[in-house]
Amino acid sequence: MDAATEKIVLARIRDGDEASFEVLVRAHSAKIISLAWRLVGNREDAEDIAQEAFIRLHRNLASFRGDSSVSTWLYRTVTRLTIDYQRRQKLKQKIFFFRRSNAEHDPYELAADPAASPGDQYLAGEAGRRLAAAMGKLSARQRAVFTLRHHEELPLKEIAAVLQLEEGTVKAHLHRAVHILRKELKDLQGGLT
Amino acid sequence: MINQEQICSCRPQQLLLYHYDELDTAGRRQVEQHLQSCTACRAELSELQSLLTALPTAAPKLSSAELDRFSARVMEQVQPRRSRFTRPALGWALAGGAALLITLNLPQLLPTSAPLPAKLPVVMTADQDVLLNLELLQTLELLEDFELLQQLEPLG
Repeated sequence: MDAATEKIVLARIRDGDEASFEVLVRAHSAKIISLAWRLVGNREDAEDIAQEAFIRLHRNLASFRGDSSVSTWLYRTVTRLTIDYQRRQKLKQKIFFFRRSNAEHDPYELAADPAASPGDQYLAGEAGRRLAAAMGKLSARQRAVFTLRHHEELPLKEIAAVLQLEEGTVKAHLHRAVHILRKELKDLQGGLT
Repeated sequence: MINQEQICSCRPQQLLLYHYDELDTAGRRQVEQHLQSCTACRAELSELQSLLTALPTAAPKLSSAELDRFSARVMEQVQPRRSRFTRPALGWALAGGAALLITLNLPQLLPTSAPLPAKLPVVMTADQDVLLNLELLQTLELLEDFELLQQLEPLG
């Protein structure tokens, strides 16, 4: 959707035309779900996060000044939501780690591991599984920066804007992410298919 | 992977930015010049590129039917929010109408000589008996607390 059309659609939504909001959802949902899916590693949570982003967009439409495009706004919201989601998941794993009884389930089985939902993986095959596992070793921010740069091909300047970080910090996260991935995928280097 | 010490005089972060085309013209030229004379950096860049270009990049995709379902789900969540602004007015109008109808028909609805239910005082007395029996209530509360403690015990 180009900027001019988006402006018209936004004006219609503000005038109470709900159908226009659906136009907006349809225009962005594929990309937004895809981004969330890449960031969290499973479809169900990705759809929930994408849905929450659209609900927040709807809630904030009255104050949406158009400083950024709807797409950038959604990217920013989805990325922040997934960072929060991943932090909560890691916290859950830590809490369950201190479980008292051995009869309880293993925390890694209970926590939604982005690398452990084979039926839900969009990356098929050994390479996909290895990448998903390696991505699981990254911090939430490293994963977001790497995904936005490598997969979504967003320039670092835009990533800095999306994550509201200094460009230097984004570069450091990217460098660290690639370093970890190289370490994790060392044996596959050059042989990934 | 090239040992970090071998490339310490170079800046490996620049190679990553070079790969992603994130350097300005001067920075890019500088790296290219450096690469001509530095075997270690050339090998490092080659390794880096072989990994990054080999990583699967397939985007997860949903079918149009799945996207339709997703849109419907979002709209379902979103629509009640907006309708909140219109519903109260309708609600107040309906409530006002109902109140008016009841007021107008009240004399017809009320029986002329409505006898009090005979058992009402008995029920009230029974309720009062229970309420007055505080000892019993306290015992019940204690029992509930005990059950709760028993449930929580395995959790420490």
